[in-house]
Amino acid sequence: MIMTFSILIVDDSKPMRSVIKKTFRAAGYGSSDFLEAGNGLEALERLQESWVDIVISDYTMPEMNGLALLQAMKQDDLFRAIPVVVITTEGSKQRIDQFMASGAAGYIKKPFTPEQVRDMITTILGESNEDVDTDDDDFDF
Amino acid sequence: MKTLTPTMMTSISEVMETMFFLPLEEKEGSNVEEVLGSGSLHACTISFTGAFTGTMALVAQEPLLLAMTENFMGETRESLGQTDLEETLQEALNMIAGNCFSKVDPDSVVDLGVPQIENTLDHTLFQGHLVVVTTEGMLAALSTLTGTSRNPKGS
Repeated sequence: MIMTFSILIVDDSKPMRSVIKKTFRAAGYGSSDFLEAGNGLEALERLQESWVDIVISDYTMPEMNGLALLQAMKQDDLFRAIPVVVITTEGSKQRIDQFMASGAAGYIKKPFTPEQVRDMITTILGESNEDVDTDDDDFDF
Repeated sequence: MKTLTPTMMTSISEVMETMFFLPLEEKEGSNVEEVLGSGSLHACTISFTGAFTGTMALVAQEPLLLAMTENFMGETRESLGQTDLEETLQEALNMIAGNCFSKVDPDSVVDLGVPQIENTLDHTLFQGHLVVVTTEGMLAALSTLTGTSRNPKGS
């Protein structure tokens, strides 16, 4: 039986949300349900509506950024157990320490490769048991 | 006025190859006029504050931006709209800026603004600045520091 997950992608850029979905499919999570939000506030609304297994969030967004979303989730009894991975262009050590100290399950720096995303996600969700059309460890989006 | 140009070039190369599958080409004698004087252009700026304060800008030829968007989103050219192109350019500049600052000084925090599409960018600002060539077209890049509490490597 194929394990499927519910994955919430939070980014104000539609192209970036497409790229992240593509990356998940390439990593073997293509049967999962993908929910999308354009900022932290929309993400909290999605979380009220549906259970998700993991949140993948950008940092810089209008209305509510990724750090504020992470902090809001960690203060909520229902949402605090949901792992949050921050995908960000912010590469400073101080900022990354801030994400991790706020409870992020991990972070991925842009630009990223599909392998980096796959490695992070399998660490958190476990290995996908879907068939993936890859050539050894190298695969394209 | 300082610039981040040398590091920006490295960041453009990494972002273009990793996210857009467009390796840069070596081309002698490319200049900004070649980019700015050819057909439809798309421009975007991003401001930044913190350890460094200033602006970065990108101007891309439309065929290049179409190829970038197509590769990025994995959708056919016919299905792409103006918003897709603009958001792709914004995301590209956002990644280039973030990547650039993490190379210049990984210990510094720089707050990036939201990238803005510019319909009336003063192209003369780009004179003498970076030109990047790919198989699909060219883009020009500009970085200007108006303030810094750090010493950018390679400036």
